[in-house]
Amino acid sequence: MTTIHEMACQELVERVTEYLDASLTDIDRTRFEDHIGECPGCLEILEQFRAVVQLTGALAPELVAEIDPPTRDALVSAFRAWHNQQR
Amino acid sequence: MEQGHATTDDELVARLKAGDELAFRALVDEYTAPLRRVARSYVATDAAADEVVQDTWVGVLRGIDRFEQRSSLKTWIYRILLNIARTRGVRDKRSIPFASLGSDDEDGPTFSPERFQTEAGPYPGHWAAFPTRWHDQPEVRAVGHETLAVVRDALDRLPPNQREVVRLRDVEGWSSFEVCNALRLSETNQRVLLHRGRAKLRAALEMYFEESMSA
Repeated sequence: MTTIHEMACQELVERVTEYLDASLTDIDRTRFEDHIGECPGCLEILEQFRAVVQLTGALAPELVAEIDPPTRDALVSAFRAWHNQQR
Repeated sequence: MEQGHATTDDELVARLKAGDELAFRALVDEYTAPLRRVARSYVATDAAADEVVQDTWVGVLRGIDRFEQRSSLKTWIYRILLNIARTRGVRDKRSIPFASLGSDDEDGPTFSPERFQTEAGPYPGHWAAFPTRWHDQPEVRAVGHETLAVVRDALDRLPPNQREVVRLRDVEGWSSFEVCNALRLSETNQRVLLHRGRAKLRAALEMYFEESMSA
């Protein structure tokens, strides 16, 4: 039965990011952990959010190439010109 | 240059102000790829992203003398980038992709209420049926191209403010503190945007896995 202190599944799923960021209050963290200790559905959702974070992190290498040397040289030249101007 | 030790901001800023080319070069090497990645989410082409990054470096050169280190160097550089990228994105009409799904509400639940028992059920607010386990998905254990494509596509379709936060937190791996500073968000607001964004990515993956199981 639901008691006042229990965190219902519907509330828990909205607070997963807070849990992962360690920003729940001590009381809420206890409620959260008590709940997932007993509820395979919510434990699964916690694992799914972890998987989402991991998969999103895996996007990084594919999205971009390193800087090409000519661009870098041009920037360093601009930096040199900037510094010479300062003097 | 010392290797294996993170150069402190103070040291680095002092060297930049003194015109140390090695320091600038190292900065460019370290930041260009992630800056480009972030810029690319605001503008329509790779070439435009490159321009945004170059303009950012010009902005860094122009501003470094006046930079008072009230924020970290990283935050300061990204603020310059975000200002340029947002302006450019608006000009290119890319800042709000038409593919953004639904309304950008930030109040409603991220899980459909239908997934939980109503007051009429024995346990109101608890699962009506448990979610399907992802662990059994071979795609999750050995990350496949298709799975990543689903994530990338869902990320692109997030409302811009959610996409921005998810990108910085989960693609770039920033802390919530850094994101709040760079985007000038409150911690609560940042977390709400992050959670809603992640929840949509989760839902997109769930749909993808369910479709591939029933196929």
